[in-house]
Amino acid sequence: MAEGIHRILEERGIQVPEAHQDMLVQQMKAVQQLRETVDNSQLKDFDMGLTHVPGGERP
Amino acid sequence: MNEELAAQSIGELAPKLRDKHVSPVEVTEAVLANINAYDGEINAFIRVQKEQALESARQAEQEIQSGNYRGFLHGIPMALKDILYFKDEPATMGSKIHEEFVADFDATVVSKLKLSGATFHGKLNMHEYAWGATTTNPHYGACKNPWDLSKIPGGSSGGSGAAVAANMTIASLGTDTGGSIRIPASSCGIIGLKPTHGRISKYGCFPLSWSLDHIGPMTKTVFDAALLLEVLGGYDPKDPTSVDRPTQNYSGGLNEDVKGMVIGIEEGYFFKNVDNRVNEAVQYALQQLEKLGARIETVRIPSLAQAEFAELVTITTEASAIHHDNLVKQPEKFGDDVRFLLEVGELMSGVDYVQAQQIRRKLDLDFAAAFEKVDVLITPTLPFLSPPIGDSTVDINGQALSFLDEVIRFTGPGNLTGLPALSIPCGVRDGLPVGLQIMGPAFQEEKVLNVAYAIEKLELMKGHKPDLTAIKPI
Repeated sequence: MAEGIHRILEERGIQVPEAHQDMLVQQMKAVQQLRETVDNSQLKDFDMGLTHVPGGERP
Repeated sequence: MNEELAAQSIGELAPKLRDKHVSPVEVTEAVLANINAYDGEINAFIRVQKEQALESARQAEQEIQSGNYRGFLHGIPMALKDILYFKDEPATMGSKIHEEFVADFDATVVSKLKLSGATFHGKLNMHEYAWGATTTNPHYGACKNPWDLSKIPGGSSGGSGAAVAANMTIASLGTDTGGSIRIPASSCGIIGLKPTHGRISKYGCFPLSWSLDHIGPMTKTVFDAALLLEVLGGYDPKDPTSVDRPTQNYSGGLNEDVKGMVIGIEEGYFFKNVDNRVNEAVQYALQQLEKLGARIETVRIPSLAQAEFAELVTITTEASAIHHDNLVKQPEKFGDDVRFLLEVGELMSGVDYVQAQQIRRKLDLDFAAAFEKVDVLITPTLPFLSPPIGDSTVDINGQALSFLDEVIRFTGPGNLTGLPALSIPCGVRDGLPVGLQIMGPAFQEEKVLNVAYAIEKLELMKGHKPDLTAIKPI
């Protein structure tokens, strides 16, 4: 996981301080645990609800 | 006299200002005197604008004297979080990067306050870019909790919470993306109202996360929060998330009668892993509401189990999109904690973000179903009492848990759903205030305010206030 994190951030031009490297691994493990609370089969009927108003801002 | 004036609410001061028993200059001098006395320790202000404030107060005084009284806010000195734009004035957002930034227009909320005759005496400290909940700001210094200077005031609107609690402003505004109005309100023992998303325009507020950001009042009383909502609410075409729904005379309509009202509690989420002292204070308030004739009913909101994922993904992703260029070009100018969170946001996937929005939709529907059975929901605002400045963990019944994980657990769902939510103090435990959160159906802030008004009338904070004399310089 550490290598993957490092690679993604490096590709985006982001320098990661050494002190953050372990912390990022721990944080992304926590995110993975939270991700496991998401049951995609339960979500498939839910529209994400993102809206844009055609034509830009309303008058 | 000064101390007494500065301790009063808008509701108390306004009739005295209108009837010329008190001058706006006297009130402004009173809050400035408190800043002089206390802010060297508390550090709620990034910038104090003494001369400008006195000049505005003199102008308000002249207007009132000549019979042009504009209403409740006329001559009331306010200080706002330093993330709201004032034309031709600096707005730092609590950051180093925007240290020299000067806005070239007024935020909509600022325009509305100016029109109402409020005056301004400074810009308040905050967590850098509102991306955190401690207000331990690396660039402008840590803001301290007036109830206990060793503790955080909460955040990100910590300066607003501390300034209101220490009578260094009559009222303030905060912004709230995961709880940043309600968390400092709870920590500092004041009222914090996050209205429905779209109710108050965000135009002219530097964003943290567009779909979660809100602006709202932070005040000494429920009446003041209602009054500010009345002034600030309403449709604004400059904010694409503004919603065209009628506002009300919230302050005039306040009603403390909760007889027959149904109050929901969601035990599985909002009362799980709560500090016993916090739980006890909230339960006591619930019992008192029951005695007044409210009925308590338990509800279930199953999708809350996924709320933490949705909040974390949405806020980190949107914040990292906003700050991406600076994270690449000048990362060393961010505080270490904010830089870390921005790195986290860069690691979320597009699928994560879309699923988080689907969860928000599910939460909307689950909360709407709950509000078919109950009028409002009551929860603790925070699961813990304010921790010491610098701690990355919080103590919950002897367990050391991550501050970051715990701090927005109960407030985040209000941002994900956009539902109105208010924090009101419901007691003091071990010298620190406890906040109780009231959530209501969309665009029905009046329900939330009425329950808050009933709780305020219980006088659960009677005899409790920060001991400001302890921090007065000799």
